[in-house]
Amino acid sequence: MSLLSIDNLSVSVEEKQILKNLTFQVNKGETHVLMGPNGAGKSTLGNAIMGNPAYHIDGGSIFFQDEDLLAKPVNERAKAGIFMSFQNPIEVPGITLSNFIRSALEQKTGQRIRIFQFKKELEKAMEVLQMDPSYAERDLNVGFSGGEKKKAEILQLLMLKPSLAILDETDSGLDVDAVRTVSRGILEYQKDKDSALIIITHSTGILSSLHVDHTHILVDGEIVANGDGSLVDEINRDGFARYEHN
Amino acid sequence: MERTMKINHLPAYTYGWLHLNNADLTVKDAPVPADLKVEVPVHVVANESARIAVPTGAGDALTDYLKDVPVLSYDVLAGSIPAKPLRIRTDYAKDAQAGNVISLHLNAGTSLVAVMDLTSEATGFAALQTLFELEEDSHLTLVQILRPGEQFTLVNDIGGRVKDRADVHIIHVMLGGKEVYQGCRVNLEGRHSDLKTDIGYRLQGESKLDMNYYAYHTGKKTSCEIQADGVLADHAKKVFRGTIDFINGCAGSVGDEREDVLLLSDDVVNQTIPLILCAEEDVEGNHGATIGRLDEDALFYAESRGMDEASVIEMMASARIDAVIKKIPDETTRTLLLPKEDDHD
Amino acid sequence: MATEDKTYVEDIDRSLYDFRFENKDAYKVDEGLTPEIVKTISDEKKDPAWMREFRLHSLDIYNQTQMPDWGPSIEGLNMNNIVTYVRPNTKMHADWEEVPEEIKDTFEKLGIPQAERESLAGVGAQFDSELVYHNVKEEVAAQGIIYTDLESALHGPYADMIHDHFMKLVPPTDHKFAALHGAVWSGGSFVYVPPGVSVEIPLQSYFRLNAPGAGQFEHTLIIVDEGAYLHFIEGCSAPKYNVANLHAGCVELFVGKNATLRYSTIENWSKNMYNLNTKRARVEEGGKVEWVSGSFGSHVSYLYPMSVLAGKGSRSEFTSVTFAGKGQNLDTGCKVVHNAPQTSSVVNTRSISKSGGISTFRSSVVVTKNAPESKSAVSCQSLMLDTISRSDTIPAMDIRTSKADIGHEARIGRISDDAIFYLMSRGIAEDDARAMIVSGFADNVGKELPLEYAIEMNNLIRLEMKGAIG
Repeated sequence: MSLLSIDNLSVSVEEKQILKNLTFQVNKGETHVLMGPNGAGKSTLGNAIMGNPAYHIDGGSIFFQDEDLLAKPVNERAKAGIFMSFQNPIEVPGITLSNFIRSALEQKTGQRIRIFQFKKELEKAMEVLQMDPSYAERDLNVGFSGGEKKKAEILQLLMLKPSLAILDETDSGLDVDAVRTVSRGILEYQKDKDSALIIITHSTGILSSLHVDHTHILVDGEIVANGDGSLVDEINRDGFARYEHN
Repeated sequence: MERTMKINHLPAYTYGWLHLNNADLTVKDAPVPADLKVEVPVHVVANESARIAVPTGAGDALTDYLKDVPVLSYDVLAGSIPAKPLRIRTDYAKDAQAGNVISLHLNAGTSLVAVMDLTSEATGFAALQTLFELEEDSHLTLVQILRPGEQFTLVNDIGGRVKDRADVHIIHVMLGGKEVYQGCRVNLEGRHSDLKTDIGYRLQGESKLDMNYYAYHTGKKTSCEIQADGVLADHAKKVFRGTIDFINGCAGSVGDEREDVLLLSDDVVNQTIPLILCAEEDVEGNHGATIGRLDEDALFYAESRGMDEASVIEMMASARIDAVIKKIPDETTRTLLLPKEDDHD
Repeated sequence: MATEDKTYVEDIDRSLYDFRFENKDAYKVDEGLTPEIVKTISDEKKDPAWMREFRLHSLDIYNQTQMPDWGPSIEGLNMNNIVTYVRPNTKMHADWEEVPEEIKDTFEKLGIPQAERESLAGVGAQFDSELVYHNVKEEVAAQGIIYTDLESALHGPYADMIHDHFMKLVPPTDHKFAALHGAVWSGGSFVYVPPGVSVEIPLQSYFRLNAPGAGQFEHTLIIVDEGAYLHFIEGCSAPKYNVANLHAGCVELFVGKNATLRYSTIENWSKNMYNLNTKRARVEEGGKVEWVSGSFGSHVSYLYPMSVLAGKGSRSEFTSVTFAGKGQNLDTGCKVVHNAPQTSSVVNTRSISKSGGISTFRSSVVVTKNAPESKSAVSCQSLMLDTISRSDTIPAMDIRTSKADIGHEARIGRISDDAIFYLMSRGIAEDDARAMIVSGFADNVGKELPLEYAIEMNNLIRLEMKGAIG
């Protein structure tokens, strides 16, 4: 049974069509990579799955665990087990990173979270990401550097334990060390064999240490090629030029 | 002798139909000083000095109303930095008609944190005027928590003068009340004198809040930073006047004013008028305001982590006030106001 | 004739605008304002009965209304000395050749007929209180567009339309000078664009106040019907006398459903003018009004074009530049009322103060409870060119719905030394560098104007910059 099933999906932003009749599937435990040049519509796919109201679904369907995802509001999609990392996560003065994650967990599970156990888990996850524990008590994303914001997103991924994670350009703007740390976080997530991943990227740096099951090349809103992990190597070598001129 | 006076004047008037040029304040009787519980730290002395003559945000009408009220005057001794804050607390009695004047004088090189926590019974009226004079290189942090009762009218007025290299940081947390009038005028007279304000308010029910913050720059290289963040719900009404006034000669000065208001109901009234008055070339002034509903990106972000809209809005509303409370340098006050970490173990 | 030296202002070289001729033969009413004078104007103009009544009623309101308690001083304006009605000694013409030589010469110097030949669909030229010239290109008239003087329209087939709209948007009760306008208005234009008609090239009106100590009170009424498009350009100038002149015109714009009206103004009144003008637009569902405004002249200005967004999804854009030089106190800005769902407004203004000039940006953005899902973005920037001038920013916002997105940004500052240094390092003289930066600063308006007007505006800026005294 497929975890996520996208059929003939068309999406537009501000009346401009971005995705055209996209179809693909993700099964439990699989890692998919979505690659393509800038402006191909990669981020649009993530936002459409998560339900960003700025993205309009013109046609097609998205099913998640056999349920119609498009009928659900954003928070219900999150509760169903979908997570998307943001390229520019918002800053909220007045609420700490720790309290934010705890509130999200309580809403997601519908249960009160025991603070002692929560803090222990949070510390453990922060250790994986080599985050200074003081960040837990800092206001959400306020004054965080680009790299710290990415780590804070992966931290939420580890704490919220979704069944499908969409990582949107999680590696962009990071130095080599930071990419390595973020990759470690992703590997931690993959330790659960059922965890599925869609990694959206236009570069290949982050993929070197990860196992990839499927690769999709997105150009101009359409999937122009599908392959296994080796397609990443080809892109690494030759770029997208071959796919842009067909 | 009930009478109505005009307070919180806009430093430059505009269209009359907006009703923003000033506020009407009705008082029933002459003011009676309320009991203030004061904790005076070491190096601060109470004295009988005359009231500092300095214009205030509410204006002359209020100063005149309070002219016969005895002044509580505190001096920070030269060369000292009190380790503890000067604490002033009062819980205004039922149907009070109270008036108090506090005067703070910081000698050169001193530093003081003053924390005032004003609460009240359900009904009544109180006016508090705080005057300060900051000598060279002194630093004042003035924290005022306004938590009046539901049917209480409170006037909190400030007037201050800041000399060379001295600075004042004003933190205002305003919660509730029937009507709260906040005046605040600071004369930045000294070279390199600074004003910073952090204002947080959350109003619901029928609460009204009328503010007038006025930074008056005359010294060279002065700076002000006025930040106001608030949340309005139900039938709440708020007026924010914020003025940066660059007087000719204040070369090298900068002023920055930011306002952020979250509106949670279609019955609120939100009025904002941020002025920059400028008669000096070599200055930089900015103001910005964001008013309305919660930003869609913020809502989407929090929803994508599994929270429903109502919880996101509640979280964001609390966060705004908590962010201001976190800036209070006194831990006792912070702990008092911040929600306890509710542990379910 | 009594003169008021108070309003005399020293001036830069604006000889291009300052020529004048002695119009000895013109008909004038007495100075000051009495019911008799209003009746005389009404007789002179052969008003329909309702209009005569309207004038006298407005005079009553005028006498009962207080002067505003905010804004620049208008003490120098003595209403008893203002001549309300000056009729040039000529009839209105549709052929430029028939316009009397002196008046023609005035407009030729201002480049009006030349502009018409090159780029306009129609032109009206008002000299003092009356239109002296009116012409519309044939192909434009063939589209069914009406462009005429308001007096003729009062008696023509559009009389009812005038009656239904005249001073409905700006009632005489609005403020003292609206009441004055209602009492003594004269001249101005009436434009009607039928449904679906798009006027590709702009229509223009040019106002010239020539008589000393006179008031100009023209009324502009424009109705753009459903789905239509119009660009209307208004130019104003007057020579300088040592006596205060008054301009209290009124512009009423009705923008129909899904219609668009762009209203551009380059105002260059002489620097003894009290410019107390009222402009207002009402925009219906899906319609849009675009104000483009350059204010350079006048001694004192009170000018705040207002957009009433009355229909769902209606929009307003306001772009302006104000340049206050020596002896000028220009209080300008705009007002927007959002009174329907999903309306939006954008305000983008620049003010420049120099040589003791005072510029004030004043605005109000009101979002009522009837306007959920509305948006407004205001951005105002001010430039101080020396330390004897003044620049104030007084923007008000009144928001009464939670479902709104309101943003406001203001900035005040000076030309950075780095910018001057950079330009000078490339061989540009300091004066030119400054003028270049100021022109760039005013480019928000420049790029919205037709080329000829943008050039005129840049010339004005250059003149103001060269007129450095302080």
